[in-house]
Amino acid sequence: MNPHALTRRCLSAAAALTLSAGALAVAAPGAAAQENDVDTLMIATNQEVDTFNPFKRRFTITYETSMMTYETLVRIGADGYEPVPGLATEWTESEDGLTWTFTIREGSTWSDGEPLTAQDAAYTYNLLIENQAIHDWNIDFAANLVSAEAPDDTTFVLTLAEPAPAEVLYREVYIVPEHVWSTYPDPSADDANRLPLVGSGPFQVTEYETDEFIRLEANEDYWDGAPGFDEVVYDYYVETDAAVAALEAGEVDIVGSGMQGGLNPAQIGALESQGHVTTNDAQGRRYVSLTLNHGTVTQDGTEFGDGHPALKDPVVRTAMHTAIDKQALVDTVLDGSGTPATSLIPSIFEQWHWDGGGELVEFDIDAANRMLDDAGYARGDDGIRTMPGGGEPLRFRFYHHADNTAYATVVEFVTEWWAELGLDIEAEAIEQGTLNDLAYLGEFDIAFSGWGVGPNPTEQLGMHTCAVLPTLTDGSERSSENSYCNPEYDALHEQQKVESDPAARAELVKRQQQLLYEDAPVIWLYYQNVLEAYNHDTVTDMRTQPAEGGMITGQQGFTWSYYTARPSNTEEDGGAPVWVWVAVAAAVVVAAAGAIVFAMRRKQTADERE
Amino acid sequence: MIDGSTTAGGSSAEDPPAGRPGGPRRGSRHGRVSSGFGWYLFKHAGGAAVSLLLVLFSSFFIFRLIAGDPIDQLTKERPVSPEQREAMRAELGLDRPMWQQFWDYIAGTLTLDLGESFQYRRPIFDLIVERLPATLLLSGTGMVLAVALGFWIGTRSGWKQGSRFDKGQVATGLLLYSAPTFWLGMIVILVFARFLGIFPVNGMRSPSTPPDFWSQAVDIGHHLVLPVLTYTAVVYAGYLMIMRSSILDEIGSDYLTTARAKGLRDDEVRRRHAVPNALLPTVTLVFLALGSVVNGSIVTEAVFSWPGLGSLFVQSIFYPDRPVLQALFVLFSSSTILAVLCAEILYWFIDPRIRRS
Amino acid sequence: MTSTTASPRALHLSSKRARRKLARARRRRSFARSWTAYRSQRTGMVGLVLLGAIVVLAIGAPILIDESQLSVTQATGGRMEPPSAAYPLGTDETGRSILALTLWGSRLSLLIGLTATVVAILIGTAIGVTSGHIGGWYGWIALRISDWFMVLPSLVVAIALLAVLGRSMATTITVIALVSWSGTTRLVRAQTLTVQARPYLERARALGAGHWHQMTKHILPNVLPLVLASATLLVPSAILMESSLAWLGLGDPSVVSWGSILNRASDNGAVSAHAWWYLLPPGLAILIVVLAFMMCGRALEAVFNPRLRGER
Repeated sequence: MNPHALTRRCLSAAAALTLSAGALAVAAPGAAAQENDVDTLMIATNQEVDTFNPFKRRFTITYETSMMTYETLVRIGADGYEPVPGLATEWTESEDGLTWTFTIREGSTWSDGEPLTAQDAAYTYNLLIENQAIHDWNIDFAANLVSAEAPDDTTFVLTLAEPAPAEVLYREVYIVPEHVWSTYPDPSADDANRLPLVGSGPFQVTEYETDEFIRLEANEDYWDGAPGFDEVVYDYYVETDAAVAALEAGEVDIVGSGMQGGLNPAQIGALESQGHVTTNDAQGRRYVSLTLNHGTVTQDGTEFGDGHPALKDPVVRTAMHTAIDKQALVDTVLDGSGTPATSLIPSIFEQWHWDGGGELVEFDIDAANRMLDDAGYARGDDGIRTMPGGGEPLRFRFYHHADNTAYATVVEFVTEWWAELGLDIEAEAIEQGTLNDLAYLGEFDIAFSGWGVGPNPTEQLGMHTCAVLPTLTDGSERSSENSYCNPEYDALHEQQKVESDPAARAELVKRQQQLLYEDAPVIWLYYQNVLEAYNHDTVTDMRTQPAEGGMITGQQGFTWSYYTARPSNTEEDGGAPVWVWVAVAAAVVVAAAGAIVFAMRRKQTADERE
Repeated sequence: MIDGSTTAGGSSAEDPPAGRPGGPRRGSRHGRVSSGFGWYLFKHAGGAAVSLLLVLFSSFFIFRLIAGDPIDQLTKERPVSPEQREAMRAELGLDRPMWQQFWDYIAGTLTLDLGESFQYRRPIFDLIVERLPATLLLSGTGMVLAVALGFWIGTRSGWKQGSRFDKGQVATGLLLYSAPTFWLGMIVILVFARFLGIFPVNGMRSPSTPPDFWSQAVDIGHHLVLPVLTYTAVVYAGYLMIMRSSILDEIGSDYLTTARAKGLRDDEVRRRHAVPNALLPTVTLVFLALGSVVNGSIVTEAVFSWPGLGSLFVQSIFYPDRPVLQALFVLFSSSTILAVLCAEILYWFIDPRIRRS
Repeated sequence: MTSTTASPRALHLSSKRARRKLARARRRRSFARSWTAYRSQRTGMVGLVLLGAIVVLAIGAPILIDESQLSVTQATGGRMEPPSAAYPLGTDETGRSILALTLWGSRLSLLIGLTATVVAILIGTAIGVTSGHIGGWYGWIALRISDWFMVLPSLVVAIALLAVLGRSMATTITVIALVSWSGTTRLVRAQTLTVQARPYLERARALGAGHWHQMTKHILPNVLPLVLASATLLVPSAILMESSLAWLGLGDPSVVSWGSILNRASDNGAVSAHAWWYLLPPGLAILIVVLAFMMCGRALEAVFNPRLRGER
């Protein structure tokens, strides 16, 4: 066999390899460019589906699919999270607050064509009352329900044990079709996952492949008018970077809070340079906070845990609070995409948020040092302060979530500031599970925490009441955020729960937040913005919630954005890029082939020399 | 590839029974007591069985030690009432006594009923079946390419030991071998997907692809290029070094001299005589390297968000999804154990020295 | 086990000093021989020089770059700035210099890699020598356990253990050591068996040398060169393993190592932002260190492993 045969063989193999790679490079976008007549709204996500059963779902993704598939009697508005008519056109609360009468919209139908009546609403609420599993699952609301009746097709009457106006209006109970659900042997089980789902909302889930996509088809007969898109598809991307690239390539229309962890400032920066992408730096519903162990107690006053005694002193907590530059955290950690926090309720809920009214703690390390000096926490020889009268040094364990690099950066900042106060901070990154275990056992000094707050703040406010203090010291009861117990706060809480007048309720809620702020069992650091981006060449007219600085993804109570979204008309035909692709691929092929020929030649001569 | 010690060229930490190419020669010196294939098989299958049992038991207990209440994970950042907690515990079977959970686990694993995932709320068996093809596609293609490339270059390299080609290839191989897989992956993404834009950033499929077979195949192939490239680049050097030293072992053999004396061309001596002989002991090493294949595919899948078992494992760690971790740990470990057993059995037939001893 | 009759023991003691001297001289000679063999390997020398330079940089990092450059509150740069005169390798998302981070990262990456290797080698050697020498049930069980660790996919085990043990430098080191000791055990055990079959050990046994004496005086010196070579090859895999674990997010995020820098980079979207200056330096650093160790390790192998000695 002559030596050139080998060269030829290798060459052809290599060429085939590069050519096929090149062909792949060219063919795929070409395939992707194929159009059909269906207008699809593509939303990037990476969240798993737990269950499509609206009574049992826990995850955000299934919250969104439930919101689109089904509907509530009362929607949560897009302007400022206010209750607005949904399936019910109007409603009245009785004098004693125990009986609610809803007028159900006439002419609305289920996606399978059956009419929707007050009977369906009564069936749904009765599931909450009578179906044990569903009842248990929603106990916080369901326990208060006495009866649900439909005297006629448009009237639905709900009776409560205790007045709970906010709960009734804000609690999202998704009305399910009786004619379908009554055929299920167990409505609490996975029968409710049978696709396609039958609902009355703007889109219904029709198809789902794990980690591939969730498809929702438009309800053309929706009572409020057919949605602008024919279908909504949640498309799975494990990494946000991939979703970003897909948005750049026009493969997905919206990237936002559907991706757990969300977009980060760098990704937004990259997207801003794209001509077809609009970015939205919306206010968020989420706060990030530091929990200070001011002494964990049970309901009967038994103290447990091993928090540092100094943290029981409000002066120390306030000094620590004073030594945190929240604005700097927002600027650096969030690249400005957030708001320094005051208290429990983020500023996106303008109605409920307490803005501090000029009484906020100002970042001032010197002032903080003076506070500690005055309170008798003298510095030792090593610069570390000790308890008054000399004693235990102020050495605090600071636990943060090991999987969150943003938190790690916050910890670096805060630790450096607190070091200037003469506090010895031992920061430790631990698993979320361990952190929770330690936090509920009271075995920590400072711990990270963060929660998403809903349009009805009762749930969050309730985590700081005496009623949810644990009865045991084993950390198994996890309803109290930080063993906070203040009778004045509790009284306000009971009042706000039954207050029907939003303005009066807002006053009570703000007063509660102020108490939390002043007592500082928790230091709220910032409210994190939701970063999102969409392709304005393909989608337009999305309504944000709230109207001012609001978000597109992660809406509450009704998916205003996806419902109002319409295909843009400015869509270009994606012809040009294909030529670029072909050129690039051809260049690669030629270059690779050239390199191989060159290499083989050289090798050949080298071989012959030896 | 992380496991440098198993595939690194002529590295030290070696595996039973082959060790480094040429290793078994040393191994056989200090005597394997044997009486035929039956005993040999029994011994190794027994060892594998013990290992499998250990894996089965340890998997249950290791992941039971993960701190935290799974319910917290399921209800992330949403307040839950104690009643809801209880209801969820019951549903997940967490309220059952430990011994019963253990028994369920053992019985379940043996009957392939692997329980239900916390995060997906679906049978784990289905999850695995769904994701297995993706993993096999990526690591299979990567491994075949790496082995082919490694053996091909290794043969030439060893044959022309000390030549510029040899030095260049060994240097290139080692250089790539030294790169952390995840980093190389990120760089490859940065260059080919971000700067040049000729390949997708990650994932396995574009959703907009038409559902017909050819479009899908082309789309998957397109997504496959970068991960396979990364994977192959990092690991092929291991096979290169193995093949190279195997050739070096053969190169001085008498039969090669004889073959040359018969007037065969260098080229033919290599292809007809040296390669087949060098190949035999090396093939078993491919089985032994399965552990590093698993390692490599976990990292590669994580970088490229390839929807396979590796990324499922990593995802489940962060959740943490205990039942899935348990199942995958057993799966990964038992597949490597079985691969090693295969290698051992294969070795019996390939290396007469084991039989003779 | 050992018969300690008076005469051999006395003889043994009296000649101890002389013998030790002899042994030292012999060792010095063999070391010189090995060094000459090593020096003739060009790649090995290149690796050694590279390693030396890296170690000097790592040790000298505090002198070259003040620790305050790692402080987030004192960082002066902008967010992910490309390289400039002030920041030759650009900045990270908090405005710190990537150059400073990479230099300081070398300390922990090397420390973790080396410590993990030392621990693994200690465990591996101890178990290898004892199991080979003592044998019996103990040897069988030790062999089974090390076999078990050897066949398990190391990254899977490491990830699982880290998830259970929590994330800190200590757990990372422990876990890496735990998944890498078995190779050394195998190697050392095989070598122990070989050494044990040699005549002089039989002589030592006949003279009544105890297990401890045999193991420390005869077996260990003979297995150490091999252990050294294998250790040099274990360090790079430990460093790679550490960086992979840290990158996956299983390291302590407050530790500045190459892996954790890359983890931060990918969490903060460096790939999307085309921030190549954030990705390249730590990765290249890992690559160079690993390569340097591999070059040294291969050269050492060639020195100590006669079969490969012909190779250059």
